[in-house]
Amino acid sequence: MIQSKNIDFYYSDFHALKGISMEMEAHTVTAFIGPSGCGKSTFLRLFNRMNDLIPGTRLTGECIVDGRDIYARGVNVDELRKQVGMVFQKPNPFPKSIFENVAYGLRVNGVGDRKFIEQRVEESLAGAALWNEVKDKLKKSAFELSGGQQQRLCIARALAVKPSVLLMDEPASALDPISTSKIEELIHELKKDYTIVIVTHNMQQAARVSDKTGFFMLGDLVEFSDTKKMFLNPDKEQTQNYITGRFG
Amino acid sequence: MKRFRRIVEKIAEGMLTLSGAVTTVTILLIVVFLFREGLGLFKSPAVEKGYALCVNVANPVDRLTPFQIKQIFDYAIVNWAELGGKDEAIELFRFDDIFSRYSDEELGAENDYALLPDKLGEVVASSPGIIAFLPEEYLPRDLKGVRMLRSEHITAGDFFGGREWIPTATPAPQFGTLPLLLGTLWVSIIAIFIALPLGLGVAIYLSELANEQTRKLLKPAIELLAGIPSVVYGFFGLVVLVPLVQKAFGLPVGETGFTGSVILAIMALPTIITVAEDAMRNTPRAMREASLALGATHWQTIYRVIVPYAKSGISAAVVLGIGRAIGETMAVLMVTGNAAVIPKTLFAPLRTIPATIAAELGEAPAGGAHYQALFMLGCILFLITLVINITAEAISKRQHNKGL
Amino acid sequence: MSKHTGQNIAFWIFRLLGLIVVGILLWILGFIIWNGIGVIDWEFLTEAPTDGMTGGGIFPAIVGTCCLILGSMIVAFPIGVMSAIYTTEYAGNGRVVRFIRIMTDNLGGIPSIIFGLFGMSLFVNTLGWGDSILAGSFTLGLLVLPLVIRTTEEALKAIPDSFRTGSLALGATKLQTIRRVVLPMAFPNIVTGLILSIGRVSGETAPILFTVAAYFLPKLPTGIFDQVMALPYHLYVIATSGTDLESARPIAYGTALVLIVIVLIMNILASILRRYFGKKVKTN
Repeated sequence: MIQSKNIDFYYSDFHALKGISMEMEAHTVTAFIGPSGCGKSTFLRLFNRMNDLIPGTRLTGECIVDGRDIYARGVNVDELRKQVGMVFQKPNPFPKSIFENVAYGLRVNGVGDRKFIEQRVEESLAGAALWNEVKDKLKKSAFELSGGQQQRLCIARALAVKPSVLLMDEPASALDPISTSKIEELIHELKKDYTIVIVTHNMQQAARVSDKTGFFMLGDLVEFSDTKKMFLNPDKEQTQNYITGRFG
Repeated sequence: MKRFRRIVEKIAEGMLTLSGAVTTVTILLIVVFLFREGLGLFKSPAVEKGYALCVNVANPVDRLTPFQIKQIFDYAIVNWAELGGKDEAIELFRFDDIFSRYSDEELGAENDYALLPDKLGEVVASSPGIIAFLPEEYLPRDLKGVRMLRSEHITAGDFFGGREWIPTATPAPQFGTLPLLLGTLWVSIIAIFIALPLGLGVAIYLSELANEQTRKLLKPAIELLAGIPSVVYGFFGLVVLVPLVQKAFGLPVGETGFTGSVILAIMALPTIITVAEDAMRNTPRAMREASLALGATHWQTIYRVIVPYAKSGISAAVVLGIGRAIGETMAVLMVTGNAAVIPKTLFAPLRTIPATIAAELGEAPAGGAHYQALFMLGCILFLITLVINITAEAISKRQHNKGL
Repeated sequence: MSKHTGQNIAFWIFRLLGLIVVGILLWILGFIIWNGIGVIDWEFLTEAPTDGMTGGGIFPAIVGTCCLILGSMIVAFPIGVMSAIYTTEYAGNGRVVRFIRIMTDNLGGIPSIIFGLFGMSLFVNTLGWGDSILAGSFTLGLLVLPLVIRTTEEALKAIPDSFRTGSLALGATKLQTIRRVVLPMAFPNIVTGLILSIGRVSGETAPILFTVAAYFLPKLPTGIFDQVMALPYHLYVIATSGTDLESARPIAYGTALVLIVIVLIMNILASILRRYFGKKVKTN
């Protein structure tokens, strides 16, 4: 379970997130929608402390993952990131082989057992619905895969370290429609084992894959409810306007 | 008025276009002048200009390489059999020797030494093992019993394969570039071995660890290091490093190849740091984030993702560093001791190509073989650095996403 | 936990390496300044060498180096700036420009001793200028040409296209646009490049060995066909081949210090200009 309590976030002087509180249950898919610059990606990146990399940022409030405040003193960030996997907007495989890409997370965490790694790589690739396509060319460069395959490879890479949460930052925005639908199917499958949070600018996608949806605007969480309700009968007028395409 | 202005403009634009070619033209000119002077070497006689070597007519040997000539006059070869001739001891005869055999009267001293050529002829004709080194103006007119050795040119083989560089040797100057070429490569490559770990470490520090303030301090320092004139490095090396090396390694002299390498390493540092840092900064943020998001530490991310990703940039840095080191003149000239021998150890004096040019061109008469040989050295240096620059360019342009 | 220990060790090593580089710089600068500062006084800067170059000052060498700086800039600066204008403003992005860039880069990578050989062959011997300020200036000018071109190109590229289109839209011709809009805006950065070039020229020894530099010449030059002494060559000579190396040491320290001070001033000047006018010009 993931929880945020009264989160405020600043880039130097810019107040990027304003008092966000919400709860995401285990084994559900939560989607964040909203116009670009609304803070949805920033919010997502709080949960594996990716925003730490940007100098001059400031946070108040609590972020709780599996019952622990991840910004508390003494939290091991590497361990946290192992636990909270992330898939990025553009596929970003390393300039290594397909196998090494998936094995990377294990290796940096000190796993040396070859058998174990091989097994985990296969599991993860299968979990990302990629195994059948790549099983004969594991030693090939990851760059030889198509964009959609690369993105599934990145998902497999994230799965290999057995996270409990999977953050996805517009995972299909750089892909063609067929690859996109494959990724969406995959999200559906993964829900069984993972808690998934996905940021998307594509409202149909949010409607298709998610159980709950949060609508962000200008750093505020305008509305957060069941996806069905959100798209059929939103509480707020702003949400209604955005969903029907009047702005954004 | 308007028309006039348009003409002026056309002229100005024409001049701009022409000026665009200036670097190309300069390179062409450099190539032309370097090679015009340098290739003249292979038309130069192997024996000192204005002199000839004569042997007895019965001697079957009719060609000698510059190196063989030198060995003969160094008494390293003492029998014609060693040169494929008859078993006969070699008798050296220099022009001056004639005055110890004949008096001035006998040579016709009061008459401009009119009889000298004949006497020289007699000497050569009378001893079967002789080799005589004579000025052309006193060559025997009557060649009975005397044979001039064919006037050989210095060959590319002598130049590139020769193991001795003694441009002032008589009768045959030695222009073997091997010691110089090896000296240059040795010093430069060891310099890179010293500079690479240091430079790479600083580049990683600058691109990954240093905060903005430290960068602001370190970057100008590195620029300054690049800006210090090489003669100042040389001077520093001479008064500080040379005694230091001598003491530290207990050597007879401190002017060694190693001293040169150390100075060159310092001088190559800015190049290596700047290029490698650029390459690492260019690693996409997405790579970095992907690695961190998988639970890798910053250090793991650096050596497993960033350095491999930037490896072509880092290779380019190494190649450019070598290029800088190979072409460096003054600093090396001042600290390596300049002994033109094939280097067996780094802890002895050696000599590089640029240092040779700088040290000797002033004393080499324009147009002579020595002068041309120095230009030929320049050609070699030019070609080496050209290859290095092109390689560096090719490496740094190589696409990251082709292959692993 | 061990993966953090590894990281800590590695990072401390890198910090140490950074310190070492700064240390090397301070060592060199400190050594020269420490030994040279006592030598420099008014007399040192304004008098000719005496006593077989173990006494007196370095005035002729300073004048000579100034002559060479001036001469080489006259050679390199106008044509370098023009060349950069051509490649950035006129030539587009085609093959020609790529070729020119490659040539410029390659010229920049040629060792300075080659320029010395070339200058001797072309200017001194073939054109018959002899060892002279003229020959030395041309040799040094060609040497810094790539630096001038590259810094100017960077300066021109830093000017946003909107200024060009704005001017063109008002009916100005391309040349007028360059002259009245682009060049004035790029001027500070072009000057930065000029300053860096001066720094480079003032320290070069190998190219002037055989084209201009005189071993000992206490009188000042009167024309462009005169030989001159020059600071870097003077340092080389008194450090390695004087008659009495030991007693010439103080002069050598002083000369090295003057050279370093020139480089320092040029670097500081350039960075002040950069900071003042924003956009950074790349030095290599």
